Amino acid sequence: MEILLVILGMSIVTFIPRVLPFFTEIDIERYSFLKFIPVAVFSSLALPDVFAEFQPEKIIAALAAVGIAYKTRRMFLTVFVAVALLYFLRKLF
Amino acid sequence: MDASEVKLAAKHSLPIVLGYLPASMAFGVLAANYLGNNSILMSALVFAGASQFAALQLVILSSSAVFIVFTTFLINLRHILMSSFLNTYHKSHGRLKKILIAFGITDETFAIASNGLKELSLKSEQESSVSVITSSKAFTYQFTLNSISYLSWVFGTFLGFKIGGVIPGEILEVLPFVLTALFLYLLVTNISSRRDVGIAAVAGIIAVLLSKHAVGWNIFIATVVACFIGGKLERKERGDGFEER
Repeated sequence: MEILLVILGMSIVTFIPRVLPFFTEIDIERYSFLKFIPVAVFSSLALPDVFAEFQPEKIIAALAAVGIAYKTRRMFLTVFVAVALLYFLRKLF
Repeated sequence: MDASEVKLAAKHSLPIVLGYLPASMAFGVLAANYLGNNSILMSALVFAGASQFAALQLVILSSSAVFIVFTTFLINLRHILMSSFLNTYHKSHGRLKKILIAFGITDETFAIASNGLKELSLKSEQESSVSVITSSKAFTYQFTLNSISYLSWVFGTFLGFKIGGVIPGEILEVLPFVLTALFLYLLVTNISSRRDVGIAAVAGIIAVLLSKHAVGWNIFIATVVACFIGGKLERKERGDGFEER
C-alpha cells in the first residue's frame, strides 16, 4: 500500500516542474539567457558519463563522437560509431 | 495530422529508444525483487530514469515515503528549465495539449525536440513567409517523440521485469552510451560561437564535479550557472558593439 502512495507522490512531484513552465508567460526574447539552455544541458548531461570516473575507453569513444559529429553532422553515424567503438575497445582490453 | 512530422519524430526517436530500452530493462530487472508489478507502474506514472533508480535504492534502504518523494522532486526539478525552453514552441496550444506534452519531457526528449523543432521552424521559414513553425506541427512532432520514448521506457521495464537478463551483459553495458553519444552529437552541432564553447565548458565541468553528490541537481546547477554567464557575456558583447550570430 505504502509503495503505491510513494509512486503516486513521485509522479506528482515529477510532473509539477515539467508542466508549470507551459502555463507561465515565459518570453525567450526577454529572458535571452534561456536560449543557452540547450548547449548547457547537452554538455552537463554528456560529460559526467565520460569523465566522472576514469575510463579511457569511454574518453576515446567520446572523442570519436565529437569528431564525427563535427565533420559529418550525421546523428546516426555518430551514435553508431561511438557505441561500436566502445564495445570493441572493451572487448579488446 | 501532419504525417511528415510524425515520420520525422519517429526517426528522431530511434536513439532514445535504443538508450531507453536497456536502461529501463535494467530498472525492471533490479526493481522486480523489491517492487514486483509496481516497477512497471512506477515507469508508467513517473517516467524519469535517474529518479526511479534513486527511489529504488531508497526503497531497498527502507527510507521513509516522504523522503523518497522529496528526493524525487529534487532530482527532477531540472525539467523546469527544459519545459521553459520548449514552451517557446508550444505557447499557443490549448490546456490539454500542453499537459500531454509536459508529461513526456525528459532529458532525452528535450534534447531531441529542442533540436528537431528548431530544424522544423527553419524549414518552414524557407518554405513560406511565415517565420515560425505552426503550432499543430510542433505539437505533432513533440507528442509523437514523447509517446514513442514513453512506450519504450514502459515496455523496457516490462521486459526487464518479465524476462530479466536475456540480452548479454556486455551489450547491455554499452547501450546506455547511445544517449551520451547523442548528447555529444547535439552539443557539437548546436555550438555556433566561441561563447557557446565557453558555456558548454562551464556547464560540463560543474556537472562532472557535482555528479557524485547531487544526482539531477548537478545538471540544474550547471545549466543555471552557465546560462547566467552566457547572459553576462552577451550583454558585454552588446555593450562593446559586437554582434554575434
